Amino acid sequence: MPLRSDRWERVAELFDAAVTLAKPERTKFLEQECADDPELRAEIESLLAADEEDSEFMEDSPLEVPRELFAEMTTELSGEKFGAYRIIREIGRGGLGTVYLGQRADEAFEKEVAIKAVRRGLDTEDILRRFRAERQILAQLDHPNIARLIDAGSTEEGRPYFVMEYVEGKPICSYCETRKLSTAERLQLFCLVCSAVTYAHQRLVIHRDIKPSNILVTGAGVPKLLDFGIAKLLSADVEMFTQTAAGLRAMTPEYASPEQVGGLPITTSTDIYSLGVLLYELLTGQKPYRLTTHTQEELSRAVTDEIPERPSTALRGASFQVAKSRDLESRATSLRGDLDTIVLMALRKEPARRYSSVAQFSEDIRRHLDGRPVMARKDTFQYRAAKFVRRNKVGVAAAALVVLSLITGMALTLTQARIAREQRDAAQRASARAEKTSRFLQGFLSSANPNWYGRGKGRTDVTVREAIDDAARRIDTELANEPEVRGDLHHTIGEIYRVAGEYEVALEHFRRSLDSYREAHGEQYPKVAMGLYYLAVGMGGTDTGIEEVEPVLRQGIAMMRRTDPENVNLPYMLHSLAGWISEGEKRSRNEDRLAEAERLIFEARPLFVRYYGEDHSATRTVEKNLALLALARGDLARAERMREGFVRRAKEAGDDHSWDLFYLAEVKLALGKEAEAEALFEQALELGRRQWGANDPRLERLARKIEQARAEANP
Amino acid sequence: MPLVYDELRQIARGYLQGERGDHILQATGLVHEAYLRLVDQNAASWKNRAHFFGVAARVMRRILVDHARRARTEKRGRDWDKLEFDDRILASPGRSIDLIALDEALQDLARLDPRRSQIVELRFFGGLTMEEAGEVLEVSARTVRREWRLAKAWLRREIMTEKKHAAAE
Repeated sequence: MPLRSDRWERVAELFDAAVTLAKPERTKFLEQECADDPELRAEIESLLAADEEDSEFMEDSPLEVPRELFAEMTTELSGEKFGAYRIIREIGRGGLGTVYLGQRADEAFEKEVAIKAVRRGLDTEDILRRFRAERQILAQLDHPNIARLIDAGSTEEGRPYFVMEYVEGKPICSYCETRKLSTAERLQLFCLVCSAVTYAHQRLVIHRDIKPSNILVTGAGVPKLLDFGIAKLLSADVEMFTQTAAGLRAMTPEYASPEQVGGLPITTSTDIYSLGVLLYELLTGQKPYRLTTHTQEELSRAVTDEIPERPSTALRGASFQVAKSRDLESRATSLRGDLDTIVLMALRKEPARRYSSVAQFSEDIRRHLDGRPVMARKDTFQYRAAKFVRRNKVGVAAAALVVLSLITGMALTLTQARIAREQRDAAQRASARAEKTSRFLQGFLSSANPNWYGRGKGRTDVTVREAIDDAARRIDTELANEPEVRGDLHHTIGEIYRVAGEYEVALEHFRRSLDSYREAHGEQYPKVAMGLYYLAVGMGGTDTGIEEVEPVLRQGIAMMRRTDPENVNLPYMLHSLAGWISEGEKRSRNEDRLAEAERLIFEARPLFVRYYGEDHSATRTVEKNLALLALARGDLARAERMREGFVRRAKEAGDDHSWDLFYLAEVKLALGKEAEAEALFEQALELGRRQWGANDPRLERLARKIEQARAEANP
Repeated sequence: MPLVYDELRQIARGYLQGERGDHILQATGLVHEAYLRLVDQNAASWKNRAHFFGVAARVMRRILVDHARRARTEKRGRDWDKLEFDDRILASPGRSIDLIALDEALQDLARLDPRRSQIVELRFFGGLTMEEAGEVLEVSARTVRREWRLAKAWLRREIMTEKKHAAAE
């Protein structure tokens, strides 16, 4: 019976008061307070009764572990120390890292810095390596117009970060607009940006993502180029290089060059093109291409195919629309001629036909400012005619490209771009591969959210499961050229299916993950070893026999020992093999095999302790394998003792211990204590039914195992 | 939205069982990503720790209640593993409580007394201490302690009454 809420306050007041009183006083108190309101009194009394009945009610939260998860996530939000720096707030988030505003914790004056940290959960070895590479790149760059690297390190939990100069300023375009800078002033500012890019190019660093939001101008009028996040050393290996090039997704689409759209190699000329787009926008307030639908195919087509309107024409067009401003009209006149030619030269489709360097580009601007003749030449008529013919061929290629980019989830990129714009656009992309993985995952996660994207549009019942199925189908086609990413994704998705209980599907993904890693790395590589391990894990879920699993595990272990003996998967692999051997030798008891299993366990244990500590569940599972081993060896007394210990411990902890009961019963059977064993089997089943429900597959499995154990005991 | 939580829970559970090293990182990434995306669609940063806990508690409530609901009606995923896993996300102490009934009663309480229901959500589903709950609600821990007691008594009475009714029918 819901109580009328206007009385609730009174109820609360009386309850709070009464609950602090001893019993006799309570009665007196209520008699006094509710003299003429028996209903109120009954209400309070029933609440007091409920309060007394069970003081432990709800005192334990149902979750302990999630709390840890939360705690971990919250340290990311505040309080985590990055060396001598303290986080104030988050200012941006990219595919790879998060950018925080921070300050030195130990300093009297409060100097603000930007801290870029690898996002937790993404700090896998591979990404860390790339992150370190990025750090090195930045450390080399010391230029007044590039945001400076101040410090770098890793947190106590081993999360790498770097501390960068925090630039308080406006994106270059809005800076020019609000200050109403003249064309000449804009050009001078632009030349400073060029000097920064030239400096980087001389150190073999390409920016790849030049755009207004990456160039902030301080109050003192100094432009600072941010975020060499996706920059790669020019000398880096070619494979990595082209992979990055293939990913337009690592670019902001509106500033992407034709070679980026087309997946061709990136050179310094790519930055020249992006600078051209920037200059276009600085001079005209518009982007070079007039897009109506802003779809990916339209953009790709425009970038690869369309020759932009001359800046002077664009500006004049705007002046008609907005207001017949004299100012705009005169600016348009100032652009005609040299500046039109300079900008369009930087924006040419073929990298080889642009300026040969940023220095040359900015030199031409200086010549223009000084009234000297410029080097840039207009496209000739012949050239254009030739181009027209060629364009039809390009059209075919472009169409193919569009299809490709569509299936690679371009729609997502646009969503991302929008979100990115809403935030401060500081955190971005250090690695094309990490980016791809992350986008793909974000892609399927967001497609599971009906308020978001695409496939599920209008539906309110899209589940993560459907999104995962969908992603699983898309991996091989979309990421055909990205074996490493494919490997990671098949692995992750395999895990998800395994957890969901779809073992056959999981196994298939583990298999493909392994194939992909092999394709990427050959036969000697930690990830290939890990792939072998997970193949074995997957096989374990499908009742594959030891004769198939064992060679896979052995191969994996051998490879891991050779290529990465520190790998955290190694103890699991050792442990797993030991388990298979012990289980397999339960009857034949080959002493050599069992001795090997024991050696494996003793090798694995200290590694677990090192990674997780003594108390971690991973470390404790080692004991369960020792019990299995004791049983296989016929050391039944020891096996019994250990198994009884597990049951006791689980009971004390209030954990589900159906399986502990089963394994204890198995030992009892081996000891000939049939009555005890039967009683334990019954208990296990009973507990399982209560714990899991009568129709749960786990219960079936338990029953099956019990039958097996009985059959083995009485052949 | 609620539909996805149940599956996220499964992913989270796989992670929380913490069996194998490498996928822990990956699954953590997934869970993070999921939380960040789903809980806060604008991907704006959390105002502070308290804000985060407030929302996290709500998410956990949904996850747990959905879980309980589904466990009641549907089959669950098979468990293949040799290592005798249990459902750690629903650790033992809370198991004796009927989460579905609690959830319903809590909805009633929210109509009557929003803050007390929030306290329950934070304490019970979010696992927050009195102090932390106070921080979220910007009241003293003493206030939380006092209001918590009535909220508990009220919920317990509602749930028991409901049970008696159900039994009588």
